[in-house]
Amino acid sequence: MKKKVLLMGASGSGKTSMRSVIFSNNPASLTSRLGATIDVEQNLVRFLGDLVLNLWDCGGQDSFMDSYLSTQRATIFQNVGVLIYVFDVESREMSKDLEYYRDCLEALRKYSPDAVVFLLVHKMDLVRNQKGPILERKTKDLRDNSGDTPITVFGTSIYDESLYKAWSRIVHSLIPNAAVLTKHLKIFAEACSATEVILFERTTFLVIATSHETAAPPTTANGTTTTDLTSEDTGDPHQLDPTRYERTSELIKAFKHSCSRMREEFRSLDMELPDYTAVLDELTKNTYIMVVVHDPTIETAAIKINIRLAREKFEELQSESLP
Amino acid sequence: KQLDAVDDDEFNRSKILLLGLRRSGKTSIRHVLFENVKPSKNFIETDMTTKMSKHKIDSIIPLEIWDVPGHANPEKVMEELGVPLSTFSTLIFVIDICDNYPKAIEYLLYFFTNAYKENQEINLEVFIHKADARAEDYRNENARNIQLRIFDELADLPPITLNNPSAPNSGASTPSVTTIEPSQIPIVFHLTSVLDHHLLQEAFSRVLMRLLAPACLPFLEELLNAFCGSSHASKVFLFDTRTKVYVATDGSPVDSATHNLCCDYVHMLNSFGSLYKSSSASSNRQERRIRAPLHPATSTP
Ligand SMILES: Nc1nc2c(ncn2[C@@H]2O[C@H](COP(=O)(O)OP(=O)(O)OP(=O)(O)O)[C@@H](O)[C@H]2O)c(=O)[nH]1
Ligand SMILES: Nc1nc2c(ncn2[C@@H]2O[C@H](COP(=O)(O)OP(=O)(O)O)[C@@H](O)[C@H]2O)c(=O)[nH]1
Ligand SMILES: [Mg+2]
Repeated sequence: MKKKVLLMGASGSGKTSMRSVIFSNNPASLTSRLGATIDVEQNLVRFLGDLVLNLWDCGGQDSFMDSYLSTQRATIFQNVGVLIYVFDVESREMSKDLEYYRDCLEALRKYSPDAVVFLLVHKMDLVRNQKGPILERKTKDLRDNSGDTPITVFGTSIYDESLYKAWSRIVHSLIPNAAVLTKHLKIFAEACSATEVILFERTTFLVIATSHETAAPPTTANGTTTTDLTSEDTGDPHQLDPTRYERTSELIKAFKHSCSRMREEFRSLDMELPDYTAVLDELTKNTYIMVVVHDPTIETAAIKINIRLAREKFEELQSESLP
Repeated sequence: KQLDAVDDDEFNRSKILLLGLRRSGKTSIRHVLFENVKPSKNFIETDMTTKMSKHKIDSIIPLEIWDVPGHANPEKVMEELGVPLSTFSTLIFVIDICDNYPKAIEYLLYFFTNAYKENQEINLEVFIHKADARAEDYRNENARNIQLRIFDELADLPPITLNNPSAPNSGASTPSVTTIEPSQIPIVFHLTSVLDHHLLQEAFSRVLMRLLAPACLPFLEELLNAFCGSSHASKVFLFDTRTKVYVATDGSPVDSATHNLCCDYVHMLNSFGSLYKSSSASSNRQERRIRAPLHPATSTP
């Protein structure tokens, strides 16, 4: 199953940079070497099971934008699963950016009325003070420019974990059997006496599902996901850090990159830390699983055996529900 | 006696003084090494440091880092310090690789010669900083030039008179006196940059190792050699997990790629440590782990 993902926004807003950080495992510091994207760069990213992301990175210079909106209109905006529109938080030409955005949205409504729209207010690291209020103001601005189309806004930066949070939510919205996965992760967590179990996609280390999800899916219509995560953990005796997932993705990606510099392959990770034990290991062909256990009587080796025993079931789950 | 009044701390911390001209990068170095600040491209617009600050760091040896703003006049700095240079175990002089050397070097000579005069055991270190600002090919050449300049200038100085602090009567009356050629003052150079935290960590490792040296470094190294031999490890570092620098390693040469990977690993473990910390489960766990072997019968506190 192919899902077309449009990545759009003004030139220099950071589209290609985020793509190279998330999908090519490049460090953020190297993105300054990227040149402007000419026309559209298409990438196929094999994701879970049969799910393939067809990523269209659309160069943002005016001449390209004009042609997307005119001669290429149908080609670009047809069959879109997700539109990700990137705004540079420090953009000098916000009104022009918004005008292009509104035009794109209009084309999208016509050719792909069911597409899900994510807006990224990017380069948040450049904002020194008052990140919260600035993001709120931008969010309101974007909402006013979106008409009836439901949107989800994230503040992001390639220099911290916020990028992983946004992209995890984005891919989560594309996975058809996320709820089934969550259900099985819960069962597995119980079997391991684990506090939490997290499933990652193998190359991007984006979070696909966790054993912890509450009933409400993270990307509901109109939900502005800026400060929502705090409420998610009510009733949880552990009260784990709400940013843990995206920070885990970021940490592991960074370490994978360190390994690759040594030409060493990253395989798995066992951590016996003062507060908990965590085991990160391959689960299926394209996923990794992390099991977090706070109970000190549970042995690391036992967790590893459980992971091995669960492999087959999860392979099955993936192929089953993705026709 | 004056010294005791200054640090009636629980114990004596080894004091490290960060020196350098304005904007040479002292504060940035401190941020990256000890405060876990990630140097990104539009790095820390550190406010111009105007006040001296002291920072306690609990590494394998308890440290106190003193960060003094650069002044045009070195005597102003001494005034602001308020203690003699002999208070410090280590002086780190930060010199901007692109800076105008003569001024920085003059500054450096003032402190290094005065410090050495007071205490011949003091460790004198130079961080040739902002290495990233020079292309790789020029970097080492530039650093070498700075080194040579410093040696030249030292050679031109008249012999210095040592105030030997270990003499029994260290009062002003009759200090035992010897003289030394300034060119014989031992100085260690390091190339650093905040954008390459491995480079900075390696430099600081060496600074710490020199601090440890007389007391326990040889034993640690021997221990690690033995560990390498018996576990067939190709390389062993003993890391201080707080500061994420190594304080000892086995006798085989340090290969920077391996060192970098180990640093990153320690960093990752450290960052993970708090990530899934539970507000309800955490407290007893550590205790139990430690206590279990002692009282195997009496569990569950
Ligand atoms: N400070 C900061 N800079 C960023 C961030 N993301 C990207 N950049 C920088 O922004 C510049 C432009 O990024 P690109 O990814 O090439 O921009 P683009 O959107 O692909 O541009 P076009 O291809 O012309 O449409 C690069 O120099 C990146 O290093 C961020 O989160 N923070
Ligand atoms: N390119 C580069 N710039 C640096 C480096 N270290 C510090 N800087 C910059 O140098 C400036 C002065 O640094 P600061 O730490 O305030 O210097 P201080 O006055 O000695 O404390 C800041 O703008 C830093 O961002 C480095 O390694 N490379
Ligand atoms: Mg681009």
